[in-house]
Amino acid sequence: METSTCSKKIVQLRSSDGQLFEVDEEAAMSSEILKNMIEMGMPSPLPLYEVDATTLAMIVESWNRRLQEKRGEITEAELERWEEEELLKSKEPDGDAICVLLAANYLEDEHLIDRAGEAIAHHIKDMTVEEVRDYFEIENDFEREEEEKVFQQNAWAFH
Amino acid sequence: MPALVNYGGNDDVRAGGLFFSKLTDPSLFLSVASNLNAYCPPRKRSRVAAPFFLDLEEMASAKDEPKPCSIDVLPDECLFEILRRLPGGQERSTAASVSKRWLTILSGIPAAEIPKKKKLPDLNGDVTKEEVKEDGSDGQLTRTLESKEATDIRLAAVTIGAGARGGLGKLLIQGSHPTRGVTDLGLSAVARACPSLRLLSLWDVPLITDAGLSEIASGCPMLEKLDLARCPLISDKGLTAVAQKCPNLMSLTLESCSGVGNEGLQAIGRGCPQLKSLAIKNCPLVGDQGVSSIVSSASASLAKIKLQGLNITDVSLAVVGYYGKAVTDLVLTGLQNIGERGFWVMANALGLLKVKCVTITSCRGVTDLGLASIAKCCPSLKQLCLRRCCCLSDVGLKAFVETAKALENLQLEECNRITLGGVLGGLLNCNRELKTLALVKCMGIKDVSSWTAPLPSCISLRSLTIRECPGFTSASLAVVAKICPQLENIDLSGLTGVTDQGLLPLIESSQGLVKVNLSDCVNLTDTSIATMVKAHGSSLKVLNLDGCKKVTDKSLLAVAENCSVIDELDLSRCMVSDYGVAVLASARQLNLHVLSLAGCSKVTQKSLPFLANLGQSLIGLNLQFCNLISTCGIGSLEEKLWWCDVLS
Repeated sequence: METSTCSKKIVQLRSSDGQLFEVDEEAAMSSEILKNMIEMGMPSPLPLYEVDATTLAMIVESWNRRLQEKRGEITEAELERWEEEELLKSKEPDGDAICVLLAANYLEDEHLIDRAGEAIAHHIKDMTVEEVRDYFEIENDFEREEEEKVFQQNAWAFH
Repeated sequence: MPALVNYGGNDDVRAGGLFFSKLTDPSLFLSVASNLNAYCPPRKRSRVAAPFFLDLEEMASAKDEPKPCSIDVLPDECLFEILRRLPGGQERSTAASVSKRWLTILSGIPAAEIPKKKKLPDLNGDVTKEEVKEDGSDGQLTRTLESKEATDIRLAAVTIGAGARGGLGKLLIQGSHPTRGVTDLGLSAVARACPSLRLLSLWDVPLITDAGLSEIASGCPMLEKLDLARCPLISDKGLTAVAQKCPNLMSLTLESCSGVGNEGLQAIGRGCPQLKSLAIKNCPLVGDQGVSSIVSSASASLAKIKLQGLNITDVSLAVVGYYGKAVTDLVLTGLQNIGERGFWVMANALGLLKVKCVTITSCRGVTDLGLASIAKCCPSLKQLCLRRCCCLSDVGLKAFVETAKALENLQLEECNRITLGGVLGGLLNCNRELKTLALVKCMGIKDVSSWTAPLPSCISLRSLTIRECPGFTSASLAVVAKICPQLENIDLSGLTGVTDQGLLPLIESSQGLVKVNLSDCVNLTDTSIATMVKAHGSSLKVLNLDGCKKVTDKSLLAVAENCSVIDELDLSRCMVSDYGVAVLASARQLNLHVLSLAGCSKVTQKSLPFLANLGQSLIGLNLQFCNLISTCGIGSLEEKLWWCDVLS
């Protein structure tokens, strides 16, 4: 691929489902995994076995925006707003934040892990136990008497 | 054609595509070979056949699919990143109740990893229910888990709940669930979440090992008291870890920990300069080396030493005697390998200058000689208690009592060579301050047929206990009355040979009896009880007539009339009836706190309303084995006296 006039290097990434993405090398350095791959001189396109195209698209976009923010092209507030609303959809119940967290964990991108973790925690913090279980479809695996005890232990939290 | 096509038999699969049985499971994503270029999720039509570049708009339109990821697929480290960002204790407690996995991860978050948020003032002013015991000073909590409730899950829940409310200060685990008991995992959760833990007590928790104890040591550097009983997997390694990381340790108790030996004790001695209390019981690997090193290292601080059932010899006692400069309480039990010389050397090392209280049980090495040395060399000795020391004779007792200048309290139990003559002879020249004397199950104590020598005068004696000495009867009691005119507390339980005649002189000579225990004195009747109550009603606070079968309502009448300050009254197995209870209840001036009518076969339902009247001050009521009172009767009484603890 042609590099732009500012001699930025581009790397190619391939998602787990075979789609190719282009991204600035500088932006890609947000991920520790990619940083290692680039420094080791692995050939393009760099394969990301655990990130699918949908998620990778969002992540690449977030890296680009972060790069823009670093260069002063957008403000920090705008970056945060984008992250909250577009990337993590923190106002709507949606599984995106979880996917982003999963991918960010694989890619070892501290900033995204922090943001995604924060968003999900914020989302569940006002839910009751039952609501959390329903939303995430988690099965209650406590023995009945254990659950009672845990409940009693923290009963003040339920008023 | 790849061999993978159609292997699941689903209609959705297109030719040339990979088939995924469950889209949500990323671990099923197979590594894509470079020539395979089509991906067909079962829900979507195949869109592409060749690699293409990112198209954001197309990605956006795909977003109205059902959510692709579920939180359950998140590996533990991701769930950790979410849960550690939960802002408050309440939220964390809620999350802890969701599932076992969430509870486990939450309890694994060290206190340091929770990001601190700026606290805004809470304008709503939440009122939290105070349902836990709070240790006064700085909001530290105490938690106790017993047998079936002691599981790792419960422990994790406790640490999360306590962490939100100021932190756990004391944790006691007594017993463990039979199949899901407390293990090192539970202790790790405690170690991470309770950095200000001060007291840890683990009894009968067989699954914990050195690893768990080491984690506690690393995570709880403020630990002050450690109490381990019957934890066979704990060894010197665990103790060494505690020694290295918990310099504030003040009290160590080890009971039946078969893995602990000398090295662990040595490490504690070196690493814990504040050690004040040491108790080691039935640890077979502990020997002279361990005891000697810990006692000598902690010489400046060690105040209480208790050694029981250990394979130690005279050497250890010598070290205790020499290095025990700060020791105030010394308890030695069942030390079979220590001989007469051990006690002699211990005393004559002249180090036990501050010792106030010595208790020796079942040590055959205690002889007249050793005891005399103790009396001579321990100038501060105030209390001596000897149990099952069969070598002690009258001569030794006399020598001891005469030499121990500070003695205030002497208790002899099952010292069968002692006779009444010996006791009296000893009391002749006893310290002017002797306040308490107790003789329990001493088979040698028998009535003296005639006493010719001068009688001692013990005006300082306030408490006298003569229990279950079958040879002691009324005749001797008369002598006691002469010797001890200032008695306040008497305990004559189990003296079946005492009759009214014997008790009367004692009643007459005493000034103001406060506590009287006459349980199982089966030959006493209303006569002496009534006389006593009349004479000492203004001072009598505790009266125990458990098993005095001949006591009837007459005594109760006397109590009701005469006792103004009585606090506890025990009439178990007496012949009192409803009438007596009625009279007792009608006594307006009584402020009875504890009443027992257990096994009183004549007390019936009719007493219940009277008992309810008594209830104003009553905090304990025992109605066990009263066969004529029905359970619903007791139930309604319990409702009326809801502040009172009713046993039935």
